[in-house]
Amino acid sequence: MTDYSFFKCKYLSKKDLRAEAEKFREQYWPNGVLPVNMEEIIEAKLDLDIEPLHGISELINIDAYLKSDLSGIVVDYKQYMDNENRYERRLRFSFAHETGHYVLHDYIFNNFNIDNPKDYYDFIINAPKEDYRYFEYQANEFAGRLLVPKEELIEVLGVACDAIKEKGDEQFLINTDKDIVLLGSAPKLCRPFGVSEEVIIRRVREEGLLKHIK
Amino acid sequence: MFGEYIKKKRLENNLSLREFCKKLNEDASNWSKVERGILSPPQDEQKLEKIAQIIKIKKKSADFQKLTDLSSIDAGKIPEYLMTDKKVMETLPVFLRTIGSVKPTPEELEKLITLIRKER
Repeated sequence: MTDYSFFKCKYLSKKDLRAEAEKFREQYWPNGVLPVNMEEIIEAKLDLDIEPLHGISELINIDAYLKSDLSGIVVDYKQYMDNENRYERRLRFSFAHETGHYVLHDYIFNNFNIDNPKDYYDFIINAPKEDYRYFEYQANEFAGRLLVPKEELIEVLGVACDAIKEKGDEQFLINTDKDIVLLGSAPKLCRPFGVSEEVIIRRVREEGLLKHIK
Repeated sequence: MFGEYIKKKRLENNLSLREFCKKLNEDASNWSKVERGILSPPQDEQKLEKIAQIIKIKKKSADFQKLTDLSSIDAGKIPEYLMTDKKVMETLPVFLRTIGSVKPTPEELEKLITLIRKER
């Protein structure tokens, strides 16, 4: 088995992560249409394969992983092929997350040979915990910034606040804790970006946009 | 070759793997392997016609011919229409004798077919 104890994740600031995500979006999704179509980016622009695999969600409780030869992203079959598209938002984030690993962490994947669910499982289990957490954090932040551009989020927040005012609830906006307003508005805020409510709530907080709830 | 060709055509038609497989009623895990050249392409004519229809290739077009040729080549077979062409078949044994008992590679078969086409 590969020795994963040498695994080390390089430090990247939030500013670095945002810059990477912005640069990536400008290059691979220049039309800026929302939601970002990650499948199109992955297959048509990065020329990576999407490889649906039966049972990885049940087997190791992950939705997707990037192959260490960087040739493709393996995704849970059931989620990918779901007839009712119940996993659409979740998969968009998973694909963006794995794309984050592809962009940020090729130096890691180049040093390990992860190309089946068992290898990935061993990596997760044996990599140093702190570095692994940081590695995942970076991919999550990249994904969030890629799928939810800051300027568009500010605009959507403005529209949501205007809608509250139009309903005659301006006092609610003024008197209620902004975090509570955010929680209540999240189902609407997340729609244009095709992500979950959790992702939108995190983006608003991470980008320091609570002040735009007014 | 077949897999790369289909993937290219599928993407030109803005079809994700999921959408394509749903239209074809095919297991996406297996189809991904076909596109990556891990599994042999389908040989069934009806299925090939269905694929062509999905990626908007007309049945009697050069692209359809290419699709069926690549499908045969990747399966290590000489395309059916060549097998029934007497003139073409007369040229084949020369090639096969030259390479002895070694099975031709898909690339060699494709080169052969290109050469044969030029001769026809």
